[in-house]
Amino acid sequence: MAMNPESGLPDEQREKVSRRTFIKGASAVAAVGVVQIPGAAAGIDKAGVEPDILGPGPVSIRLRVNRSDLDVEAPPSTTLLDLLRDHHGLTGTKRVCDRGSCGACTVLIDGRVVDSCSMLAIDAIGSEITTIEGIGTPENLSDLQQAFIETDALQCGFCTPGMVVSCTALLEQNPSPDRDQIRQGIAGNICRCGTYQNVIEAVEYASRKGGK
Amino acid sequence: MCWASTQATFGFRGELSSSWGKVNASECRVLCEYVGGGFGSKFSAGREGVIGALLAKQAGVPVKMLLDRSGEQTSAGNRPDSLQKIRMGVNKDGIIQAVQIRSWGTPGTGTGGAGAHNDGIYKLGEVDKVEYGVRTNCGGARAHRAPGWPQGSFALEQMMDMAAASIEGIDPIEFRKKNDDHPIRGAEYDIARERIGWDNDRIRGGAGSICSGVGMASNLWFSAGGGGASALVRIAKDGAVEIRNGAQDIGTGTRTVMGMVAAEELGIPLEMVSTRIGDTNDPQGPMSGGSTTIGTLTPAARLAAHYAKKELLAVVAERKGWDPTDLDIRAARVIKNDGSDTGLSFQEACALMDDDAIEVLKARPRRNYAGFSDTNAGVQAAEVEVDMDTGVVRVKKVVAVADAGKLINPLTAESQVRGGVTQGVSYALHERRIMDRQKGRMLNDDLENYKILGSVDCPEIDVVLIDVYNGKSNTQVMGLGEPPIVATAAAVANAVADAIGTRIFEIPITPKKVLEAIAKKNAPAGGKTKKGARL
Amino acid sequence: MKPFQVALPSTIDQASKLQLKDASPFMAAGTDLLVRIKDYVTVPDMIIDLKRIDGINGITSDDRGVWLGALTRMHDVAVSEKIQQGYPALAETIRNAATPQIRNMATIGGNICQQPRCWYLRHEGYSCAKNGGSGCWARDGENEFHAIFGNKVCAVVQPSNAAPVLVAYGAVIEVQGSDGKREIPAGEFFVTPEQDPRKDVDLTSGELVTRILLPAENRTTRWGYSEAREKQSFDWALASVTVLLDRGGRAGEHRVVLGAVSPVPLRRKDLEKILAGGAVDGDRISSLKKKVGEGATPLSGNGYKVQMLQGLIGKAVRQASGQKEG
Repeated sequence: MAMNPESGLPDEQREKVSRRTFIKGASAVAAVGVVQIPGAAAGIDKAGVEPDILGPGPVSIRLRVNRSDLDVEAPPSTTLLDLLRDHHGLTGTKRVCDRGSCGACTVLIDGRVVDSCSMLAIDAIGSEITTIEGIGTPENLSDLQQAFIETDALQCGFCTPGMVVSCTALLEQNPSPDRDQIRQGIAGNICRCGTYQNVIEAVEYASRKGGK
Repeated sequence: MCWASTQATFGFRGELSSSWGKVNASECRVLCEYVGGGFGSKFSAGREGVIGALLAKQAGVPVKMLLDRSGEQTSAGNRPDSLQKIRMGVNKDGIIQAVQIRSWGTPGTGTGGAGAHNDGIYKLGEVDKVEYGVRTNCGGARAHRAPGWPQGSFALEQMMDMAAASIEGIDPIEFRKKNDDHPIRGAEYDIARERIGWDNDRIRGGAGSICSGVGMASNLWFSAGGGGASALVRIAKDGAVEIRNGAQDIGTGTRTVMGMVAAEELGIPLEMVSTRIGDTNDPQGPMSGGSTTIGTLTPAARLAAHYAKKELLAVVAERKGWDPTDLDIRAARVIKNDGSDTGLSFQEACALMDDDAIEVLKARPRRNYAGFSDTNAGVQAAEVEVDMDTGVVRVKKVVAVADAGKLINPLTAESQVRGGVTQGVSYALHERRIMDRQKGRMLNDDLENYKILGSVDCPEIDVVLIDVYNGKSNTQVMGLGEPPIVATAAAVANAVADAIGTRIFEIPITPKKVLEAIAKKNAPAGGKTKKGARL
Repeated sequence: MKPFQVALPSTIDQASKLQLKDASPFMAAGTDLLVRIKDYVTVPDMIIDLKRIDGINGITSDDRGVWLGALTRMHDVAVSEKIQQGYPALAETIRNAATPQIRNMATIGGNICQQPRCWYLRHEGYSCAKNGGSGCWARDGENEFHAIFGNKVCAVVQPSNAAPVLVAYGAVIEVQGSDGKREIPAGEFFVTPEQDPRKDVDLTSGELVTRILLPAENRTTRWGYSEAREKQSFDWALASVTVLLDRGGRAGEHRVVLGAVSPVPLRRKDLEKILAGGAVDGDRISSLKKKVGEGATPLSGNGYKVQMLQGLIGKAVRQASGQKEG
């Protein structure tokens, strides 16, 4: 399917897109995603007069996940976590508290850690989303993931994707963090098994190897 | 077909095929390759498991059943509360003569599992113990890592410190040693004493704005394992080796350890062995409870591997005209008993088979050998800092000396101890269910106010593993999931008492309780002004 | 979670009119609102997502001081040089708040407008003066984390760590609705239950926070912030004390604001007066400690907060006056 680079929409859909569905975002969110509203009064250009109102039914949402575009139809009230897991099958990102308290759902948005349970998927439009699947694969682990294995930084493994994502971001920002900085870097990730000390050692290990 | 997060794949199947679940066991397969944490709460399929299966059966479509956090915390059971009263009689030499124990536990709407193990570790002389289960309308109990033991330890170990304090010239460690006859723990006390800096100078007893203290407690466990597991080892003609057991790995490394034992017995590297677990179509395995999984599974793995190797060597001997009793396998080479290489690799040996594969299924012996030690014992010491101004407690360090039978995988063994200690500190400082006294509803059914220790709060955990060849089974291994949580909260409580000069008899030890204890301690001496500040 | 509509206004005026029409809630990051929706504490048919509104994001400065756009992320406030140099107490409190994830998501505007964390208020099984019913469950219930001051009508505590610090700096909250802009001193922005139990902040329907001004004339290098909480990784303050000495270099102009002990950040002029009385020495700290609990009406389970404040005020004052921890 041919894509229009500006709107991020397939060409065939583009004609249906009026300015009112072309959403320009504020700088930090930089959202230039496109949300197609099925059944809405397409074609009536009211930008600047009437705001877009989406849903509650499904809308087309295009997200940039792990360096590729993913299109899905989902209600605008869908959280980023649910969209990734239930619509894209990216189940590496875990759902535990679903309230922003545990960090199991941590993903990167433009390189920053966020709780994907606590934001709407449509607010991630236009951003580069990185999930655990985008950090390494079983055949091609990142240095940090390899370090997790070497230092036994996981037990049941449920918090591990979030931990790895947080530590990846930490090493990206600070390639040689001290122990306190590592502790602060994973302060939003709860591990019930109690692997914190091993995770700290894993980050130190990866840091020594100069990897991420 | 059920994909379940369970600590007992076979138990789960059993519940589904019970009268409630109404499924034929032969039609039911339970899969659980990864559990995602258990800690005792997932022995049972629970209402959620059975209801999910019934819905799927009746609707004829796949059903996904997921408790959200609130559902998990309000309807899937809790670690029982415990209230204990202990009186202890000690003679002037520091020998415990007798104890009287009354304890009350809350199994919620259930009936069991609320007992406190407070009389199992030390020689207590005459024991008069009565225990009551108090039913409350607060949901049922579920096991949590060493059920009843951290509760019992919390009370008894504080009693031990108080008793020691009542005798002139005996410090808490000496007092424990006098009343403890475990052969291993005797040595463990001294290791813990040295590594925690027990005898270091510190500002203690509430004498500064930041006070420091140390505390000690012991643990005991019984995890040599028993019958109830079989392992299947399959050596294929192409050299592929697989070991299978239907039990689950709750994050303790069961999968790895099974493979290690088989690889060692077969004389090949671990990388050559694949392990299949968590599938009730595979041989019977235990529930992961009582820290007995490893002690139950590994002897079966060793036996199956042993006999599979024997069969393979018999094939080799027959084809080559060698004496089978003169053959063995080391480093994936077939060798003779004198150590000389036969020129045959493991893979070449496998290629000599006529059949597609050798499959050997062996059960673990039901009984353990007499052995040297039935129990695994440990000692933990904690160092805390308490901010006397705010009541905030920081656990700086925990030394955990643990005996784990014969160590198979020191890396994962150490991780288990660190995990137990981390949960123990969390239990000591933060974890509690807050029930509204007016409506009886749980108010902290989330991970915001049900607080769990985080990375910044996690102490340095210094693990000392004692390798004990106990002779209980062909692997001599002991499970290490539960033992390391038993003593932690008690050691922390004793350290807090050492730091602030008064005792807190209730967990979690929150800033509120610390401040209240300090205020109470200072009250008779002259009002509840701020504690001789800035000394 | 019940599916809802999402409105995406691109101007303040659009946002304002949407709310005036059917009282739908505004959402900045959503870290608070989404939790309440998932817990069925609030069940809106529509939310008004503010993220696409231009001009209310980022940190700028002019003659009056430093302006924080309402949509500025907490993390960006904490690491801003303008804030670290001019208003270090604010950087300090935010640096320790919540989690790295939340600080990357949550906005400063949302932070000061978030709903209190009271577990009764956030439980679908209870209704109280604050959410349409009457009374306060915490007063006779589980109130360990609740208010010890101003708690007669409702015992919530103001949840924002930043709020008391903003009050201490004399921040100005700029709000805008379809009728235009207002500037509200931070000290008056937070609404006490006595004023109106339904409200947390002084916003009328259709109004939203657009910017926060940290006035240049209130900068000071003599600051102290102390806070106690049970856990050091992700937890809420049990109590906090912000102390600013000689604001703007004006001798004797001090601010003492208590956090997490009352439904609004609590400025304490009586303590400021003690501080203005002379050098910060042991006697003065003792007087502050004696005084800090005055007026408190602790409930069954939170009397410890008075003791805690005594400890915290000593820490904050010593920090502000450059003294070492005793």
